[in-house]
This record gives sequence, C-alpha cells and structure tokens, in this order.
Amino acid sequence: MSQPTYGISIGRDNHGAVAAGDHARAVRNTVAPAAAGVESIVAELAKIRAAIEHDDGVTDRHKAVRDVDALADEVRQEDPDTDAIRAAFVRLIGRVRPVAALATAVYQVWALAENVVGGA
Amino acid sequence: MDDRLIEARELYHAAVFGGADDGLDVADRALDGLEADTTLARGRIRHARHLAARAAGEQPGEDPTEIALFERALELYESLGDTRGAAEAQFLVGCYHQVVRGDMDTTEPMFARARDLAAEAGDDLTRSYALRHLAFTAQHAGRADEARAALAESTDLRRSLGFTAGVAANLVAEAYLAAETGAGDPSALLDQAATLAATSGAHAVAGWVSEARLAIG
Repeated sequence: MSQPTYGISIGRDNHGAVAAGDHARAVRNTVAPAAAGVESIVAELAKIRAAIEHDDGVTDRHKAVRDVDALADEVRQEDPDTDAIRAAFVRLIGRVRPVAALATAVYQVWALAENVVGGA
Repeated sequence: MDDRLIEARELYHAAVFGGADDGLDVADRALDGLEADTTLARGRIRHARHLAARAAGEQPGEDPTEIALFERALELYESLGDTRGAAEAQFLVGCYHQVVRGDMDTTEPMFARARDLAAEAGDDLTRSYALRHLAFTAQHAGRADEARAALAESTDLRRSLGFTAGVAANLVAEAYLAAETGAGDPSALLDQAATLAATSGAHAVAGWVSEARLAIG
C-alpha cells in the first residue's frame, strides 16, 4: 500500500539533486552553497518538522525536532559543518525510522543536502 | 507467460465482456509489479554491460538509461508498497552513482536507506550489498572503524546465506582497508579470498585478488 507522504516531496528521487550536484560541488570550494538549494532543504525540513510534531510514532519527538532545527541552522551557514550535518541526519533517521514515510522524506532531504552542501 | 500478465488479461476480459470493471485497479497493480521487475532487470543488464566494459579495459561513460530504469523501478516498488523491491532498486540507484558516476561523497543516504528497507523486508542479501557499499563510502570519508564494521556485518550476512563469492569479494575489500589502516593482515585476507573465490567459481573475484596483491604488495 502507498504510504502517507505528509505533503513532503522534493522530487521522486535523488536524480535531480544529483544532476545539480556537480554545480553545487563546484561552488562549494569558492562561496556558500547555492542559495536556492539551501532554501529547498530548509523548506523540506520545515515540512518534516511539522510532520514529526504530529506523529506519535517518532522516537523522542522533541529531540527529533531539535535535530531538524539544528540541521536547518547548519545548512544556512556560509561554511556548513558537513560532519555535524551527517551526524544529525543519522540521529534523525534513527528517531523517525518507525514512521516509514517520514524516514523516506528524511533520506531524500539528506541526499539533497549532500549534493548541495557536500558530503561529510 | 508471467502470471501477472495472465491475470491482467483475464481482468480485461472480465471488464470488457462481463462488465466487471472493479478488477481494473488490480490489473494495474499486477502490471506495475511486472513492470518494476522488468525495469529493474533491464537496468541490471545495462549495469553488467558497464562493468564488463570496464573489466575489458574500456572507459564506458555514464548511462542515463540505466539510472532512469533503476529510478523507475524504485518508484513502482514504492507505489506498490513492495519494500523488498524498493530496497533492491534503492541499492542499485546508489550503486549507479557510486560505481558508474564515481561519486563517493553523496551516496551514503541512498545505501543507508537501502540497508534499512532491506532490513525491514528481511532481505539479508540486499542488506549485505548495501552494507558493503556503505563501507566504501565510510572508507572514502576516512571513517575506517565504521567501514570495517559495515564490511564485517556484510560478510557475516553473506556467510550465513552461503554466498561464498560475496564473502570473497568482501575479504578483498577488507584487505585493502587493512593495508590502508595498518590494522589486520591484508595478505591473509587475500589468501582466504583466493581460496573462497576458487571454490565458488568466482573468477572475477579471483582477478580482484590478483589485482589487490599487486596493489597492496
């Protein structure tokens, strides 16, 4: 059966994000990540945050919300800490794993983040 | 003929001649499942061609059709709620980016998701593949302990499945990691890999062992 999407959709897959990745990587060594990519990440994180707040299935919901907030803050930095971003995504995945649709959404945003701000 | 095609044909007849159009959604789902399997299989064949070309010393370029096939299969499996299929397709999407595109930096979420989906589906083979490739991403990022743990978990799964050629392949990867980090005995690992490759008829893996001996010294 199809799972609820919580209105979260950054595209069907990682393909578009990866297609933008080469440009993002070229930018990474010079200036801050492409603003549009960062805004996409922040927008999707906001949707995930809202979904987490309303889903009892998420483990340690308040901590999951803190992870999302930390991620949004970090990706906005001029020089994002990719290790911190990775660690936050790994933690967040662990918390939302009981809710499959949310886990899928987090994985998609993580993939987008890796392409926009660079892999850790 | 595949059972799902037969089912779809019967449902078509039931709808057209019997007026039973309530089965058409079932037919669609049956065909989606068939399409997903076929699409994934076709993607695999393209992937195998890519690997064969590389093994022959060529430098094949990226193949947009291959990734499109894997992504389409993933989309279909997800829409069907087929977690096992989604795990496999997600793994192959990651594999395309890591192996074909040579992108070692951004594939962790793809393989991590494949690992989790495979675990959910109870598909230890796909989980072993995802873990193996997660190990490569971790090794590339300098997280040697994580790489070692992921490879060990993958190898344990493969041993329990009796997937000897896969165990041999993992031992080659472990040998490279051991040589890189100074932890472990690369030569002993390659000896084990060679033995397993020989006993399982994994000639390609035997070739990797020889390459590794030359590279590691």
